[in-house]
Amino acid sequence: MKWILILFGLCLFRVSYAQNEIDIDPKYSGFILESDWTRIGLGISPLFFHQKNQHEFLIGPKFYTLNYVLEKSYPGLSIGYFNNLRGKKKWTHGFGFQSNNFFEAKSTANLWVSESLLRFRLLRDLKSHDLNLGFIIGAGPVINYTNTSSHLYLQYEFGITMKAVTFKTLW
Amino acid sequence: MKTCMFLASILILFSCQKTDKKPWVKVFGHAGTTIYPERWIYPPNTEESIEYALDVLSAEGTEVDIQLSLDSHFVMYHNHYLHELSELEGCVSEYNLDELISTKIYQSKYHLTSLERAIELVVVQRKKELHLDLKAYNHCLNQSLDSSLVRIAIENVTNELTDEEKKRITLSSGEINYLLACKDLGINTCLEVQSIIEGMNEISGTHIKRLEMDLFDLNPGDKELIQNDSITLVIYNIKTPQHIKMVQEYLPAVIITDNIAGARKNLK
Repeated sequence: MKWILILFGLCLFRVSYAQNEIDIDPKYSGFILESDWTRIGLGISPLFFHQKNQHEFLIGPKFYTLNYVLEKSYPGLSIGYFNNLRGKKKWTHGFGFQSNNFFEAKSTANLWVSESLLRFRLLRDLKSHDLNLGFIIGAGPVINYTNTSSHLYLQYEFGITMKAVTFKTLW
Repeated sequence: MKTCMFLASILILFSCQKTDKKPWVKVFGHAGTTIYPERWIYPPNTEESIEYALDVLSAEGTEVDIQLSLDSHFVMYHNHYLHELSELEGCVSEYNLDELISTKIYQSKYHLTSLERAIELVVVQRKKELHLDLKAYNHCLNQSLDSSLVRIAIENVTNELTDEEKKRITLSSGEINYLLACKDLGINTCLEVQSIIEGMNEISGTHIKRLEMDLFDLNPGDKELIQNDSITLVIYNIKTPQHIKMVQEYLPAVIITDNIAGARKNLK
């Protein structure tokens, strides 16, 4: 509940802050590298993104390295969205969501791990707008589903992220 | 969009791996899944923590802490005093089972659970193993339990079980008299010790075939002693990947760990 309140607070902050902001460049794509510490362990995600105005869509694999649930570092599928607003002083912040899904065949069970996170991201330009570095916080439900039972609990994350624009697109 | 669909298909195919092998050592959760708050998904010694360890993390068994109630029933509880986790005052031994299992713990979200329920969940329903850490000292009365009471309470919860189910239960204590009292109940018994040599001497000539030790009480010289004897070794206090590497040298039959997934990953 604490984390949901923090995210809600950030969302309110964002709504008031957004009034003085300008839109970012219209259409471009590139890659994002995220590393985040979550309740179940350390995750790494190399993601592809496509952005049109303030709408940013992400997809790619997510790996858990050190963690308390998955025994192997098989990639899961990560899909996300950010609504971005760009400030006047090289700062961009975004509010969005991400869904990460993993499957692992254990010796006695087939395990699905599904995370749904509300996320806040703050990015700062490095040299130019095409390269950003920032941090992410997020929280939301995670469900661990097996053949015999399912467990739902609150997941949270603290991450660092690097975003690089590699090409402009027409769509 | 085509690119996204292609990536998604590749990832799903990547995930479809063959069923994994079991590790060579049995991996048990500590107090359900873990006793350390920074690793809790569910708090220790609760039904939820046991189910998470066995179903989600695929542990072969779990260790739980048990204390005796006023009416001679065991409940799962680790701490010395009840006020630390519940609204009750005093010790477990001052309340009857019904009062205890209706008591909420950990900010009123979870309940104290009876040993009978734990046996049902682990041994009967899932056919996995249950390691019982007997907390025999009453900190309110400053005295130890009578071993005959322990025997009666264990007998009451195991007499309906089959022989095979009884063999999936291990009673562990640092005091040998409790284990000797449970000699012919059909369950395993395990003496918790701080030295392999002392432990071997203590169980010599008894029915006890298991020794339980803290990883950090073991010495390099203990490896030969363990290999040359027919004892079954249970090692606990295993948390980090480094601990998991250390424990392999002693060839234990069971480890009790706070990182089930890490242990299963590294002990294959």
